[in-house]
Amino acid sequence: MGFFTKIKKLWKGPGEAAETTPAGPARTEPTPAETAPIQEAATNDWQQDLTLALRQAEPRLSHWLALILKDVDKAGDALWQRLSFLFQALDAPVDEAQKFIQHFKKWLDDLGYQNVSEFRSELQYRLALALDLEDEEDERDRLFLKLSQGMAMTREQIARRIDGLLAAHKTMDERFWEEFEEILIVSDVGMEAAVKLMAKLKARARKAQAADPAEFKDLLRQELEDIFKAPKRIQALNPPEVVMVVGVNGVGKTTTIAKLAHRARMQGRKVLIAAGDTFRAAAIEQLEIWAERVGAGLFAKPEGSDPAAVAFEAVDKAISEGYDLLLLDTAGRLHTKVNLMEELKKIKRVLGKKHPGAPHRSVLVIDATTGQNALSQTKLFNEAVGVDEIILTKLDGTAKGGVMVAVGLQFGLPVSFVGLGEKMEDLRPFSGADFARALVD
Amino acid sequence: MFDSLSDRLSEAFKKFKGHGRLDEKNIQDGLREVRLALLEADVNFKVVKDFVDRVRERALGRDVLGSLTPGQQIVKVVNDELVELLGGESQGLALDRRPLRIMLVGLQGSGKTTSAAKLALYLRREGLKPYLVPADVYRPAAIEQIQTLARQLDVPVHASTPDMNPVDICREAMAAAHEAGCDALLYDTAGRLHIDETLMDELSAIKAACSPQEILLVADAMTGQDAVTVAQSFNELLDLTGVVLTKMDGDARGGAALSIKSVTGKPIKLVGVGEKLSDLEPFHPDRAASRILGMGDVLTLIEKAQTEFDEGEAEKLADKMLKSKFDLEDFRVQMRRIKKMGSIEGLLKLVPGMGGLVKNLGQAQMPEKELKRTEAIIGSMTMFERRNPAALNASRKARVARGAGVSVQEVNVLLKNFGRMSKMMKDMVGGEAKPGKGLPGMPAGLPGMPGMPGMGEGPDQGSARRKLSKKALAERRKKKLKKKQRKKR
Ligand SMILES: Nc1nc2c(ncn2[C@@H]2O[C@H](COP(=O)(O)OP(=O)(O)O)[C@@H](O)[C@H]2O)c(=O)[nH]1
Ligand SMILES: Nc1nc2c(ncn2[C@@H]2O[C@H](COP(=O)(O)OP(=O)(O)O)[C@@H](O)[C@H]2O)c(=O)[nH]1
Ligand SMILES: [Mg+2]
Ligand SMILES: [Mg+2]
Repeated sequence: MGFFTKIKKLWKGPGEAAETTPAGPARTEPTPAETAPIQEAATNDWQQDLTLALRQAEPRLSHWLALILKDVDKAGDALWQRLSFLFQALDAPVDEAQKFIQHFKKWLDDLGYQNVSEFRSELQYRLALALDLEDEEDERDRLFLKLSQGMAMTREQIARRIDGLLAAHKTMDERFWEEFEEILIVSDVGMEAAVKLMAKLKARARKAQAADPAEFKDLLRQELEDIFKAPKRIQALNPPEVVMVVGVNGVGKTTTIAKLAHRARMQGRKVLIAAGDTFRAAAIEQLEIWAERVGAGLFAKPEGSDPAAVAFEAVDKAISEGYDLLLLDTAGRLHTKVNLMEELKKIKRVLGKKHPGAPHRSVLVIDATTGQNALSQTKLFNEAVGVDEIILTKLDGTAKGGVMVAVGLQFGLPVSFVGLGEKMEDLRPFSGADFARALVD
Repeated sequence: MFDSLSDRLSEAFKKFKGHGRLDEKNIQDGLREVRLALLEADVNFKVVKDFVDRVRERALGRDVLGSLTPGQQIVKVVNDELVELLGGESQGLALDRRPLRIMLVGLQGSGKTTSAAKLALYLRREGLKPYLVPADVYRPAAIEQIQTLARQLDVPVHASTPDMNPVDICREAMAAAHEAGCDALLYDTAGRLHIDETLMDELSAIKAACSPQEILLVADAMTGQDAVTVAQSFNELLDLTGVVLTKMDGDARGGAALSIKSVTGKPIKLVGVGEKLSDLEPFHPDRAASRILGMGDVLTLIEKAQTEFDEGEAEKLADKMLKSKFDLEDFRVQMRRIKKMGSIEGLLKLVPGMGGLVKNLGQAQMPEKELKRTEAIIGSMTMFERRNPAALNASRKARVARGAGVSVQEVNVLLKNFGRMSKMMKDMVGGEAKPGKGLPGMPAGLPGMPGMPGMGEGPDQGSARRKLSKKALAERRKKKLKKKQRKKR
């Protein structure tokens, strides 16, 4: 699913491309259409290059974008024309193409950005989602890059230590494991989980008959992949999809909702956000600003309203106005506060009553800086509302989020996304393999 | 998961029978437990290492005193050492200079804005005239947030807007505060990562422009190993004067406090214990130490009971106790409340010395069952009997026992324990509140639980946070009248 109701995937090889109109503009000469008037002939190279690039077997968005941005250093007509050209080449409906550009312009305005360096990453993120390219190899590499950039500090420290460890030991002996344990503890994995993880690694090493520390990285990678192997849950659901976001105070629930809404918008979904935090000062205003920025609808009641009522009425609105996705924000609450957890249960009950199957997902947000308390958070939120997935925020700092290993071992809950910054594009799908790779490579 | 260190140590020293001297060998297991407990509490790895070494040094060669088990001996050493490292005495803010300038810094979401508002309230109570300065121009609605809080407190707030430069805001706020007749500025800066150079430079610039007397790092009590890196970075750049540890109202053990204090040497000055603006308290090293060690915290228990407890009801109840009118019906209501608060097991673990008991009782099945039985017994009484326990004569007792499916003896035990408890409660409320004792609504001593001492009878926990003297009650009533708009959570 993408932003456009239809596009022609030129890169999909002749067989598949044959299904679409054979005489689309990009199939013939790259003649710019009425919507994209011709500019100086000298810069027309990019058009030819781009047309060629679009027909390659593999879609390479980063390459396309490089061509589009060639000699462009600021937002302006040149850029809009080039984007129009791209969409036209892909046969996207003209009005939708204009809408994409309008949205992007507005975002630039809101944030006061002008230079390509300030918005390039956001533009690529939007294009990837809009053209449904996020799963393609090229984008996955970029994801990994972003993930590992975010975790650069983390990775550097851990990798350096692991390398040091490997260099210092000829065999995986007691000392080796002791030092490895230390690395795990410093990453917040926690003693109990560290002991478990090492037992698994030792078993794996024995089975693979590996004694050489050089093989260690592979073992660790496999093990972490296993721990984070999330079962893909494909669920048939009656729209609107309802997602409830919960967590302790200040972890990033509201920001994550904005990021999720942004993703869904860029995938062409109609999104409603419900301001279920009626307690914290200006929580509603914060969400208002975000909803406006990402182009989502907002349902809010005055500060101090009953959050269950907000949830109830928001579902009404989502159904009657044909939204695809309802994201419900909730007030931060410490998991030990029984009355607040009861409130959460009530919200969940109300959602289900109003809309069978809702909430389709309950997302627990955890801050990567958190230590062992994340275990208690997961346990109690899970007991209260049944957590379906976890989103780990603030991985752009130096914290390692290692406690997720403990959470993974103990609860087997999948991590769906990671937060890598404060901007709305700073959310990336999480994969255990990438996490492991980013940690030890 | 969080067994108290004392339980663990008694386990570790089980083999250590009789009297003797602590030596390198027999101390090993005990020290391992100390290390584990600290790591579980999120104390930084290196800090733990140094700490354990110090404890070893201090413990070695000591005679095990007749009155103490080796486990207790180690606990004492560990606790003393911890209290000392955490700063010994509690240390407050320096409030003598005017205009007072306090700057709050820290990671995103740690609680800076909330703490700024809490500080405004605190300073006003100390007789200062606070002025809130919103200097977070990045986070959406950050300025509205502090404006809302300022309105609740009726404290003036600087007219910042998101298009201003934070350094300019802070500089210009000084004159504006003076104009508004205020003498204490609170700078609420944006959350930032310690590795974000641009934003860290901004903090240096604010410091240079305003020379605040206090620069406080606001840190989340749930922070893990990274607390050290964060605190170090902020301290190196800004030379902090202290730390505010927030979200201590949860179940985080707060090992970050020890880590931060150890690596920066800067005292934890205040702790945030809730989302309400009055939820700010001085830091008590002794309390923090026992919490880090999982040694139970009666105060946490009290807190937990309190969230379930309406203030008005507390007053009524306290009044009743004072007049010795606390009866079985009141008790039943309280008991239900305890059940609502979560498992009794969880609650008991918070009480010093109870951890082991819970284990002995077989995963705490007993207390829950006992509670049920107690409830059944009271449930079989008529309202008259509940209100007047003394009226329960032999035939009434027999009827109650039959109704509840228990023996008459069990009814007697309950009544006896109840009598003991109400006397204790009366002493507690009416007489001078003894430190470490419970609070109304958290009945000290649960009748029907054989051999279980009153909950308030644990080791001395320092002065109780909330003593319900008559005066306090009167004050509370006054406060309640003042508090009108804000809904209670
Ligand atoms: N560095 C960083 N900051 C984040 C991230 N996610 C959220 N934040 C920041 O954390 C703070 C609290 O976020 P918010 O969404 O209001 O948290 P909530 O209280 O859980 O709703 C804000 O300053 C956010 O900008 C992230 O992934 N990285
Ligand atoms: N339970 C609890 N919540 C707190 C405490 N201090 C702050 N918070 C909450 O933590 C969240 C983030 O606080 P905020 O002041 O916005 O953090 P900032 O981003 O550092 O300014 C809000 O939901 C606050 O209500 C505390 O001591 N206890
Ligand atoms: Mg929020
Ligand atoms: Mg703030």
